[in-house]
Amino acid sequence: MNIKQYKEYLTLHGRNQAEVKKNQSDFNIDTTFTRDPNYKRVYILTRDGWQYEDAKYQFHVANSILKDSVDYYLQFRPKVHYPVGSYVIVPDDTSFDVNLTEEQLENPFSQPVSERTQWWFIVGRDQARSYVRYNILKCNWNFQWIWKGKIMNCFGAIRNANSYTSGVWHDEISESLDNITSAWVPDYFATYGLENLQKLGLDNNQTITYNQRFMITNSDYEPKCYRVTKVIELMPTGVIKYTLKQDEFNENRDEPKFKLCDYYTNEGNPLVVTSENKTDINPDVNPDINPEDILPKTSTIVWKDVNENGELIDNENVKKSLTLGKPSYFSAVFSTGDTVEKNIDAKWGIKVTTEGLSNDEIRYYNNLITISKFGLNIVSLKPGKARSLIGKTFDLFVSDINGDYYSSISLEVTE
Amino acid sequence: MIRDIDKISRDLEEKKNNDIILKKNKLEQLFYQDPDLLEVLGQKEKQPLNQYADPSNPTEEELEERRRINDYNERITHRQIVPFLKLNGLQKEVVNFLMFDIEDSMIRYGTSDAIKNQNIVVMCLVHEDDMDTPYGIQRTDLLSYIVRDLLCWTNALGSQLKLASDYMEVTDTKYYCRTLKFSIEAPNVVRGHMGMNNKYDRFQSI
Repeated sequence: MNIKQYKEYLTLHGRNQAEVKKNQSDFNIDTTFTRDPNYKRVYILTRDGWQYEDAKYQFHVANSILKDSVDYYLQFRPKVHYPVGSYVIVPDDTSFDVNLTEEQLENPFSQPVSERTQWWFIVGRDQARSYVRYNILKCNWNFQWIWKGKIMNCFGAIRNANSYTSGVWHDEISESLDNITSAWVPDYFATYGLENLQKLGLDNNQTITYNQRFMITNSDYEPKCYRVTKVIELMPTGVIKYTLKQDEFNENRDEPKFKLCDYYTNEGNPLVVTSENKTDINPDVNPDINPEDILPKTSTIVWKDVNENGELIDNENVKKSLTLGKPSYFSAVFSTGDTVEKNIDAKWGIKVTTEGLSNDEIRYYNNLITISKFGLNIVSLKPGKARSLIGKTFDLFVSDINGDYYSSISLEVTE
Repeated sequence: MIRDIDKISRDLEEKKNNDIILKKNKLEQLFYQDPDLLEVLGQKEKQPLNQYADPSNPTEEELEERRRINDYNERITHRQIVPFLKLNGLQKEVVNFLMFDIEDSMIRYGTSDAIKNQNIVVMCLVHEDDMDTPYGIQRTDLLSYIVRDLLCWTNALGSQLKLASDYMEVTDTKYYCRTLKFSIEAPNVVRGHMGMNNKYDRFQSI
């Protein structure tokens, strides 16, 4: 052993005491993670869909009826992180599992709002300790609004805004309601990316702007309506905070049955587009955004081939299936309008699409395909030499880091 | 015994001079020809080269990219099947090895000393960070299965190979190892010189 090797030997576990201790702590926390009584198997919404994750659910501050509802801590395994704004379903004390049925696990948004008692979303990241803990806040209200003739909704949290007013404001000639409350919702755009919203079953909640009205009430007799007067988006990124001022209930336009404000036009026709009333769309709704002004952002995945010199080339005739134990190459082409974007870092993913597989089998087959990324937008896929892979189909998908671009292709494994 | 040192002429290229050289060479060929072995050893995939838009006049960026790819390919290239039982220095990168060697042990059969026992030792060394395979089987176990499949009860080295032992051990600080020992009976000869390995010492008649 020479001096260089000896130095390498000494630094195998870290370059200094701090690194050694951190590595050992990581190891200890990871191995003993499920021994903590606070350990829970949570169900979290990521850009790729819902998945289970190991987490510790911890107390942060005492709840009090004198103040607003409080946040709790959620700590993931060392080096596991999720963006602020992510939805997470945390089992409560009644069961070790989340209260979703088998069908609802596929799409938790199909759970009726009245049963969503275990939904939280990440509202902050506390990095005071070596191990980051996320602040999570319980969701308690499904916000609904109409945009371009479609009912949009977003599950978030109503917050208490300190208010010492009597509830009415009046001057010499008029009297109006005067109350404020606030609402926090995940910023879907920042957390999940615009391109993923449809796939994940989320509505674009950046369409909530000033003067958007919400019906926030459990009462059908005396519905309470509120109007957005303040929008705070970036504290922190991933959460949108609204200040809501109480507004008059308009019995001509608002519909208490659906808890929707501005459901009808002034003429009494519903704004929501159905097959019968398609012509009644009010063009005045959100006149600011003209879809034609936005250049389309497209991405395509191209099969590549390797020529006899070992160079990666475009070849129309390349065999378009994955072969056991052999790499196949793909490149992503991102373009805005007609311009090809060359400096976008592609994010790749793969998932098995063959039907009738159990969760364990899905995980097994996804792991059998090795993805190696070369350069900005080239990737190789190599199926392991497992004969059971033959005939299985996969989706390869690519997006950029913001989720502005998204495309996928279907692949089959052959021998 | 008087050696005429000036007249010694050996054929250093001839692998059949010594059965250990010959058999190690055969084993190496056998291991390298197996399509699954390198795969399970976790050999990293080489990156294909980038294509120049104009092959006669590549741009600076293209040359830079080509250099990067060549560097990468060189870095991931390791000799993973090694015909001796020694780890190649301390590995910082995650690389797995198959190492093997052959020893002669007991010379048998009475006074003739004509038959010997040979032990073939194959060690499957796997870095602790790379123990898992996507197949749900530990990498050392999968490697030892392939080696057994290639050698056990076969006549790959002449007479039939028998597995004598298969055990695990911890080597170095980062490696886990599975060792297989095969035994084989072989004549105690070299190239027809029964009982004598050195033709210059052939003073004893048979």
